[in-house]
Amino acid sequence: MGSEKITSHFKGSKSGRRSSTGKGKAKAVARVEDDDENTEEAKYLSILKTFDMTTKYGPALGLTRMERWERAEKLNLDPPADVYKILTEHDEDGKFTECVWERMV
Amino acid sequence: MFEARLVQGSLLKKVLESIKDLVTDANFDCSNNGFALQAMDSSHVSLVALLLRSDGFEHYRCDRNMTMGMNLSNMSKMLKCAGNEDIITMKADDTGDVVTFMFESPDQDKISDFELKLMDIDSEHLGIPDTEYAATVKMPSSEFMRICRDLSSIGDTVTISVSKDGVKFSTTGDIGQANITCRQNTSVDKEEQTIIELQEPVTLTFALRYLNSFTKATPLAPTVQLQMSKELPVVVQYLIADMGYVRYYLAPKIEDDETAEAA
Repeated sequence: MGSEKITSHFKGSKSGRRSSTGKGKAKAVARVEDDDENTEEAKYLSILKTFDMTTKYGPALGLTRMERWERAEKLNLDPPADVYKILTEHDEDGKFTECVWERMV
Repeated sequence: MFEARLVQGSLLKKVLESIKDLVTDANFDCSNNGFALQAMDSSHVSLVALLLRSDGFEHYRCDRNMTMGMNLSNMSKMLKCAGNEDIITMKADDTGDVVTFMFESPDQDKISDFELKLMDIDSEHLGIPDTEYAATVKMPSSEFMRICRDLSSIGDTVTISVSKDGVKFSTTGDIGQANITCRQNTSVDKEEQTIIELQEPVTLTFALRYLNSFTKATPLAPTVQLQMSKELPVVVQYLIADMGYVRYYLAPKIEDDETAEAA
């Protein structure tokens, strides 16, 4: 008679060990990230969309997200730093640079 | 930024007591839903899943999902410094490598804060399928604890058989054997009730050592719920009032003659 492992019943996937990128200080705190590139992108786009939806940073249409971020910064509205980071990392892709309404209007 | 304030601080102490014997290091997952943990014991035979829902905290803020790796015995050392009446607040920065526990005495005249270093922990997250269990037993948690303790003085394993009349715990050891049967009992006092919901009778064998560790959660809930299906891990659940749960999963022993009998 032996002890069966719990892993033979429930399927596992690695998690938690992923360190956040960039700042070395953040080593011990691992962000919950998915291995899949697409979900990573979806997460970024969702952050950007939230930024678009936040009315306090002013109108979103007719300027790029970066322009809107910089304007908000200039007006001391304290726009989120991760938005800036995502925008600088993806400054070629229209999906990232333009606000969500850009192509619908 | 992660912030969670729990007026009933003793709850967090009890939660930690219920898992620290089983797991040494674990990742806590903070999200908008709440404060959660899933971890296996070192031998990978059992699994513990904890959830403290965000709405159970007096104040809860989690800007982005975060994983905080902690050594549970160190975390327990710090929480032991909190009084039972203290209000406990947990705080962590998105980029920081520490978590802060702040204890406020109920009359606000003493405030302590403890900083625990976080660690990088390799852990495996298991997907637990939603299953309909063949048998569900609800019974007083203190009764279950007593049974596990008593039987572990006789033998190493317990065979739990659930039938429509009751649930039988049996063990055999060098000195002899023991059987304890709990009948279905619908007393007026909900906490005294033993309730059996049955699709079909189930008999499974488990290592008592693990069940004994699970009963460390007894102070969290007056009743315990056991869910069993043939050849599947048992689920031992303690509901934390208005807050969430601690669930333990334990894989059954593989017993050749037993399974032959059952078939």
